[in-house]
Amino acid sequence: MFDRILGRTRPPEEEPASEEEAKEDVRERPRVYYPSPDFGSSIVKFIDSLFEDLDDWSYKAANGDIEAGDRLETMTIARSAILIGILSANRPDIADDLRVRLVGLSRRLDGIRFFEEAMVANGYAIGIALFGRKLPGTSIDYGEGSDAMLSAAKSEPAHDG
Amino acid sequence: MGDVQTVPPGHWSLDFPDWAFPHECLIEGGGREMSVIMEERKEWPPRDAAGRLIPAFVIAGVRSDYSLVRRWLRHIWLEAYFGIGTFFVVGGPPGLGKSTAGLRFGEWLNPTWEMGRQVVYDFYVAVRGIEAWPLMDLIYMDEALGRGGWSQKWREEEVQEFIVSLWEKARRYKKIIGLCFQSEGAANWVLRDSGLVGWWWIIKKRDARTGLKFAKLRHAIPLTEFYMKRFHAFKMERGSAFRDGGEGTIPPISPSVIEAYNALRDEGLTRDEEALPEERASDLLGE
Repeated sequence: MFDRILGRTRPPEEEPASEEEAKEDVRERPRVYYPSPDFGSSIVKFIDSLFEDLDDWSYKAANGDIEAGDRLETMTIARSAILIGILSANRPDIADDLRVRLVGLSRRLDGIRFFEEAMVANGYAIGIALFGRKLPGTSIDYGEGSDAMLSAAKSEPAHDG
Repeated sequence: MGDVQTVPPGHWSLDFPDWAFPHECLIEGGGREMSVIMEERKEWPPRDAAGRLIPAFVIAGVRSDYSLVRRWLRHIWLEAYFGIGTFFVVGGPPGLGKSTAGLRFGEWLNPTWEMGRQVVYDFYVAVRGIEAWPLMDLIYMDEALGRGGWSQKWREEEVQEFIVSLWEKARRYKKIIGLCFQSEGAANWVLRDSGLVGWWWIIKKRDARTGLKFAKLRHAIPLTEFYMKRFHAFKMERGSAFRDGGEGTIPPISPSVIEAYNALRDEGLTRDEEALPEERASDLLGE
């Protein structure tokens, strides 16, 4: 900037005369480590391999492999436990509900069936925690039953309480 | 009549735990706890002074027994019974049936409901009615505030003083007070800044065939202080902020009632004969 203000111009950068000199320059430069995508890609690789394993185990479990089914259940429970831990910070009610659901499912189901139902329960918990239930199913009121309400209130009822 | 069924005490529907922002009641434990306390006192199911059942608490064995409107009516009845001056606002464009919604609320909250009395058009009638009419009544101020109430001419101190006295009266005489506005935003500097209103209905559309009204309910969180990030301090201030509750429908009333209501409205019979428009509301409320 000061060069431009003072009316000076930079000398043009000299291009390396040959490839050998360029390589030597690179060697002399101090090594600086920038954040590389290796760390992220390793996580992605791990998750990919995990899902491949899950696919593998689920196919094997569906074909009757008990050991693969056990591994599938263990992995499902581990992931659900992480989810329960995350949810319990803000919505302990949902987390506890998910725990109760998973315990019930694990008593009833095994292997691939447990995996399917547990995934549904996890998705339900995530959805409820994120979006809540803004529109309860009972919210539509066409007014039916109001005549019975009003007549019951107008007459003197003998209600035991 | 031994087969009359009411909502059991402690039922989940007496609160709103199923909303994205669950309603935090001013009474600890909410509607469930209040109903259990009434059961302990042998006061359940809720009745009026003459011993009649409150219609909102009667269930007829149909799906709409636990609709949003009825659950809300039960909740605000319990709030008023336990000594909170319950105010709610109904807003929406003209022609969507705000007044008929008030008729519906009144019909369900009072066994001895009279159309000409509970839906008032005169502000001074409403203010006097808080003291004069029986306990646990709904007073639905249908555009009354816009006519004679807190108009823009009032001074702010006067309005605040008036609101505090109105709140105390509503709490003392256990009234549920509905404020009906075509443009509720015009009064927001009074209603919001005073922290008066706890519930806010917004009527969005009306089904022309059935008269069903689609509405949205918002509930207030009372604020006593604001955090000022710049000063790292709390500023003491009264106010309320509204959060989304649920969306629901307000059922229509019968055509005969609507005809009677229209006749009353046209003839101007809803104004009480004892009204004294010359008196200021502050005089009426002053000790």
